[in-house]
Amino acid sequence: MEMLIALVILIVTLIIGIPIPFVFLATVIYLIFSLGYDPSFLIPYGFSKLNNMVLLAIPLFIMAGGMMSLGGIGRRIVDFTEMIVGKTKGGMGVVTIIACAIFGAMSGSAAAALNSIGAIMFPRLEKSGYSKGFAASLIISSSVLGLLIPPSAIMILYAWIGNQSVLASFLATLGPGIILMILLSIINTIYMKDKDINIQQNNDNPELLSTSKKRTSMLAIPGLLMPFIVLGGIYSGAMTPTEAAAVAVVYSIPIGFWFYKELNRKRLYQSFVEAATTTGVLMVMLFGIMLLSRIIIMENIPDTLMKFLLSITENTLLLMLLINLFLIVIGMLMDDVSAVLLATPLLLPIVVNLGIDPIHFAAIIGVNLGMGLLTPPTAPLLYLGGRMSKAPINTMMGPTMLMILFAWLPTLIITTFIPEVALFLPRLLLGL
Amino acid sequence: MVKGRFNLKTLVKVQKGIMIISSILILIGLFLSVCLRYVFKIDLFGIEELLLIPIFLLYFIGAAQGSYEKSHITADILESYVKSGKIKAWNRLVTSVVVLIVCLIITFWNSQYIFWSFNNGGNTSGYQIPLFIPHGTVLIGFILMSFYSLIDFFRQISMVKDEMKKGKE
Amino acid sequence: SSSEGASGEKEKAGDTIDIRLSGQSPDDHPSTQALYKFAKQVKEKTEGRINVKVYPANQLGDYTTVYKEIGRGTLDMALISLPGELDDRLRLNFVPYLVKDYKDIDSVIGTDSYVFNKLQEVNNEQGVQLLGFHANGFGGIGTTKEMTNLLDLGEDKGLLLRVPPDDVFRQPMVDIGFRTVTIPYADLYTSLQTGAADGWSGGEASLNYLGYRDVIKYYYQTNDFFNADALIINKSLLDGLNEEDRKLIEELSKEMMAESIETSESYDKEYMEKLKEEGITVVEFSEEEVNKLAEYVRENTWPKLKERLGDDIIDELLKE
Ligand code: NA
Ligand code: NA
Repeated sequence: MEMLIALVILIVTLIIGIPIPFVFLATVIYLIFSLGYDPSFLIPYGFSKLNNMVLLAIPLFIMAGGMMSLGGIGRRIVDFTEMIVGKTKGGMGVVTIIACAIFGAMSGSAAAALNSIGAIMFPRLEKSGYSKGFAASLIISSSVLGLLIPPSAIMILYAWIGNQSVLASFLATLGPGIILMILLSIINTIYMKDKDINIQQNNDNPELLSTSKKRTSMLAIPGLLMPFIVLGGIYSGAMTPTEAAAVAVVYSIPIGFWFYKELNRKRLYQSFVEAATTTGVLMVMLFGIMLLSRIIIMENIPDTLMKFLLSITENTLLLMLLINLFLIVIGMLMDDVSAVLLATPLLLPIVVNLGIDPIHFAAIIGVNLGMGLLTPPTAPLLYLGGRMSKAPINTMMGPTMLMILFAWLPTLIITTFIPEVALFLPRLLLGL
Repeated sequence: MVKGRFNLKTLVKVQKGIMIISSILILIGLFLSVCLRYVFKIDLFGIEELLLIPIFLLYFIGAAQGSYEKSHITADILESYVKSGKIKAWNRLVTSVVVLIVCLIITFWNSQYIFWSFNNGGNTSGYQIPLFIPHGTVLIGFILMSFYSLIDFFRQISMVKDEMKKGKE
Repeated sequence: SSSEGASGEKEKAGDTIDIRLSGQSPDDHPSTQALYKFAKQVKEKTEGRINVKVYPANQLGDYTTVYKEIGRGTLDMALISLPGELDDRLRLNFVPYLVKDYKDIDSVIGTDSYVFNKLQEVNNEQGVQLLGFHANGFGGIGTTKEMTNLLDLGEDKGLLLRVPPDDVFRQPMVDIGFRTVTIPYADLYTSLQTGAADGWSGGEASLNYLGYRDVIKYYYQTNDFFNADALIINKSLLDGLNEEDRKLIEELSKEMMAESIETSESYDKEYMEKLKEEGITVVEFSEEEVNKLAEYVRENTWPKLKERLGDDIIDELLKE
């Protein structure tokens, strides 16, 4: 009973617009009082959970992404990708997808990819004959690659809550990310097929005409090296993810100052403050969810939920569909971070019980919550993309729906029912 | 009023300073430990303990800054479907009250724990850093968050008053 | 009716009591299995009046916070490592080569021993009662690389060993000749996998098998630590129980301890076999060789631990 009221409190406070960390904390406070717990155990439990070096990787990856962004790497990546694949029909769409993936390999979130690549790609896509709505939809779908291509803040959180290997969780979403890239490219090609566009338009880009190929490549190199430093450092075992993130920040500072010459001391400090603020907001949320999940464990909620699910059906395939449905709903109501924090402690024990590999589930959660960033009512990427591109949201709904139906849902189904998509790389590289 | 604003600005400046210094200390610490490991084959013993205080400062002063900037993540579903300015203003007032109450309760629980921790809390195992220091930064963070939500609460009251006046005109 | 476990009030006849018992080992670890058995027996013998719910695998937090919670009474019982972070003297049973072989276990850490009574004294100061230990077995060194000069004491082993950030664990390894790295336990698996550490010390064969069989290639049974988790209970909860219930819990705890001491040797053997079946090279040492290691560490390392544990404790141990 108390749990049902708690669920109502959670949903109501969420809907009226209470900031999500305080949604979690308000629910905790209700449960503490209604179940008669002594609150004194919760605070130190929360502290001890936050005291974990893996979490520190999150602010550092945010900083690294911010530093590269301020240093102007986004534009260099786009120029470089355009130079290689841009001169075909519909090539600009593919440039968008690939540029987001490359930027995704050096930053940890979808918003970072949207901020860095989106702003540059909107005008270029429009000039190449894309409608505003389609361009904006393609960019927001592609920017989720920032989450699916490692490193990924969501996967760090998943690994942290579920006691899983960060390295394996990172690799789990890479396969689905590649499938998504392919499906988005196909949709893009079909869309452009009907358009009568002169390919030569691409060459109007003054940037590309004035700078030689050599120079474009040279300018992109320091940025393109970053994924090798970060991912190479992690997967060779030279560094922990946290150390690799710190090295990435330290690497990006001189690049931004002296190579791209777009970073200065004021911007540097600004990016420290921004990363710290983003992280601080996240940490209060983690603190709240930790307290909540401690009560969830003590009250045996995963057991209860499991029994409930099994009373509906004992078919594993159907149960996985139900769990996906549940994740889609959570994804509609919450942003990716809040959702992974809430869903992992609830669902991981259940899927493990069903015989699903936790690393496979990492991929399922990653794809679901990535898609959740595009599905209203809570759709941060949709709104942010709309604002940045000045495309009215209603013009984005159609193409976004199209991409959800023909790119996202197929990716989700493949990821759910073919475990190898998620597990192939972790097995190959980590011998799991 | 002018003096009050000045103090708030100073407070925010101090917060930013703490975040910048913590970031730099963390970066130096981690970078140094990687370098020492590969160049000099030395383990920087218990680096995570040494960084504990800057890490917690970064997290919870950052959280306070988030409250000041109102950048805590919201789902905001109601806001996007309700058109009436009056309902919006009242809803924001209710929201700010809930946030304030939650902040105050968590701050209270936190302070209870810190007092207890001060007397019985223990130290980190390597460098014997008393744990109430890093944990105290969380309390500071929540005190600041309570403070900012109080300010927001007063702001929302005056917003509701404005909306009610508009209705009468 | 149900009462909150650790309220500290006197138990009334007919009340049912819920006890939350926190464990730190994985579900299939012998010590967690022992906890399930303990819970089942308590329930049977009290005809369901006392209901012990086991939360394994650090679900309710790591040993430090769980210990604090037992002291404050927000959790009731636990089977955990005692946290030296709270009181240096709680490290007492982690002194390297404290127990030399299976014969000595009961005399060194049994309920009549100096170690047990000293620890009981310290635990009581924190509001915690020590009920007994669950003996897990002798610790060894699991590595990803081969090591040939382990017994050349003091000579560099060319191996980077993960140790807990604590002198009691680190110092003996440094003295034997390892380079050490203090990676948090949570990151141990990843760091072995990626090579950020070449090995780790302190875990018994079963823990090496259950947690790290996929990453280690060698296991050296050095017997450096005798691993035993402490079964503890909130003191006022225990004192508040009626005579009969208290005796029952104390009896069952002693049974659990005695059984674990009896089985620890066979468990060590069983899991060393399992490690071998996984293709891991298991290196065992003769009694003479283990003695050589023990003597070296007692001579070189123990005096350095005086600062942490206090002169009187180390002197007392050296006397024995
Ligand atoms: Na990424
Ligand atoms: Na959504």
